[in-house]
Amino acid sequence: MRVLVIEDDKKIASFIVKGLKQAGFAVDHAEDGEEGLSLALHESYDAAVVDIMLPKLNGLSVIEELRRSKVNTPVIILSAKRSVDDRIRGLESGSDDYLTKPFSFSELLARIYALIRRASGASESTRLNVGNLSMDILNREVVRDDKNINLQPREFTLLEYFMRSAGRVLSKTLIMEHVYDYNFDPQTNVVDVLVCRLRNKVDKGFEKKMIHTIRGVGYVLKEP
Amino acid sequence: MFLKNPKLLFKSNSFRLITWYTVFFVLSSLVVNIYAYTVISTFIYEQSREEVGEDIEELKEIYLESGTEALHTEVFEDENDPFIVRLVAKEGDTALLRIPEDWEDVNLGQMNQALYSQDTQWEYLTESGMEERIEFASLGVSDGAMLQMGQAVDAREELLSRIRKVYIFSLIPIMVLGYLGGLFVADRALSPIRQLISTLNSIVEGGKMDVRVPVPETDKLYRELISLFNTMLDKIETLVNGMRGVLDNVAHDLRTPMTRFRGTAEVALASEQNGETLREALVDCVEESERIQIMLNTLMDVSEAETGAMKLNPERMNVAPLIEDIVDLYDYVAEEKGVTVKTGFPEEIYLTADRSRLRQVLANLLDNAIKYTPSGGRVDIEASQEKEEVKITVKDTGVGISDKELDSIWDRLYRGDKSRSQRGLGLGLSLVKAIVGAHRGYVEVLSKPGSGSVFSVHLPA
Repeated sequence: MRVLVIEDDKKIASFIVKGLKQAGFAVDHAEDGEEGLSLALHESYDAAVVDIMLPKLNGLSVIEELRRSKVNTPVIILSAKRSVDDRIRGLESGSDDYLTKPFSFSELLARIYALIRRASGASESTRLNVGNLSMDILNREVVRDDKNINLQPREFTLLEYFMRSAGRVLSKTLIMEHVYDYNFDPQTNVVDVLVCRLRNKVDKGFEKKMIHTIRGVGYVLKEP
Repeated sequence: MFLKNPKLLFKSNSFRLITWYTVFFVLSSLVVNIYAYTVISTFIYEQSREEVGEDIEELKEIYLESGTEALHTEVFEDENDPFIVRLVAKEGDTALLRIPEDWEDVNLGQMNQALYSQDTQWEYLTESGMEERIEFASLGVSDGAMLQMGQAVDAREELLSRIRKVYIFSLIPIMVLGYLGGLFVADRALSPIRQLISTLNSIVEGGKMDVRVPVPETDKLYRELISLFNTMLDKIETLVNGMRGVLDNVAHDLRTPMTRFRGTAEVALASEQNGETLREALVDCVEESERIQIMLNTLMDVSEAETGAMKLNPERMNVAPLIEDIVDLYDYVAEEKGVTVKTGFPEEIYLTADRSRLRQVLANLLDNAIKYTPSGGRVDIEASQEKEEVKITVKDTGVGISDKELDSIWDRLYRGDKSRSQRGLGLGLSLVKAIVGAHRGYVEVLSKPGSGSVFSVHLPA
């Protein structure tokens, strides 16, 4: 999969590019709006990461121009401003998601995956399997090694999210947004408590743990 | 600026005011002058015609009663009379003619053209050939004859022409006066605006934010404009000072975590570098940076709300489902801690507020309540619609707050003795208070150490 990164700050650009390459993406990088726009118009990408403050042509204009030219590559905006107005303006210009600096790379990655999945329009499977853990979404059943796991609705939603993003780190903010549909700074321990409960049900009694805490970043579910 | 571009001069308000004032002044003076001249000249005409008018009536009586002979005697009685007298018979022949001695060469041809009329008609003898200006009256007599009488009117014409000259020359001082008056009026009318400009200048160029324009006592329109302008300046000043305060606060409050951040990194660099220690240090740095980020955001929120710079998107809404959402959010947290959360409020409680901000307020209060309530305790959230406000209370059976601390709990970054061991930044309650304040509401707390606290939020409905 191919991602375009339009970002003028060299350090930020370099960590995004490195990180995305490590995650297996092919990455092109543009340092200003004009270069970025011409790349986006002439090449084909699965997603684009666009900074708002760019030399020559700002990020919002790049996106508007893309949408005018009927290029529907999903776009994530990066911005140093966090006011609601900017968020709305960003989304109005035709971007698909919005991330405020400073952001954690794992969150950016998770959002890029989510955008690509949404854009590909692939119908979501109703059966998920990660290692010996399997989930039947229609019947709301979770089984690990033939052992039935009984989950409450929020726990179920979280586990489904974990399984769909298996192997990728999910930040507290992402979990908060996904499970509770909230987007404010998680100063509470709501997410920790929820993950802790889920872990007790999924990992308890098993020698190999599936849900891991990545300190300072978030949580990840992966095959034991 | 005006002199560089003449077009601007003509368009300028003060030029227009002066011009209009001058034109109006001159025109009204002109009207008054013309009226006065008409009155005066009518009077002078009447005066000068009075004698001839009376005489001609008298001669008519004599002619009618006693005939041409008697008229002749009467007319030639006094040789010094300065009048021309003529009697025209019905057929148009001159029956009688008397001309004063000095006017022997007078040409009376024009008198023949006078039309018969029973009323006295006045006409100038324009082709008399004399130096004097002569006016004559014609009066028809009942038998078809016509009496005519002429006299010199030089004095009268001279007087009128002088009066006319006086009026015409008076126009010059009137125009000057009009212009000066216009200048004065324009100056008076525009002086509040000039004051506005000079105040603006001292703000824009001098950077003096505390300058205000003196409010004029006289004109209502200007008074309104200027007090509005001053109000605007007040608002800008509050905002600017507020933003300055935000910067100071944020810079100050971030120093500590920044120090920790840097310290962690430096210690790791200076230590004997094995992979695991470095990894630990990096993790600490990431965690610290996240804390700084959250702190920065919260501090900005608090400061913006406190200074009125926070942008709120108020909407009319039912607050009951919102409270249910928050309780649901903390469901597991409370359950894990062994704290029971009970709610009690009607299904519909309407108020106007910013939804996400209000959610932040409630989440913070509930978070606090659960945090400081030991296992087995209980938290009650109640809400009620009162006349002009909505009251939401969060009551816990927690550790309580001592009197000494009650006043400080709303302060930024204040951490009570009992809260030091808990996670948190010490910003939650100050954010609650600031957001509620930005909604023009207020917060209250009642507490007794050992038996719990009651936090209440009052918001205008």
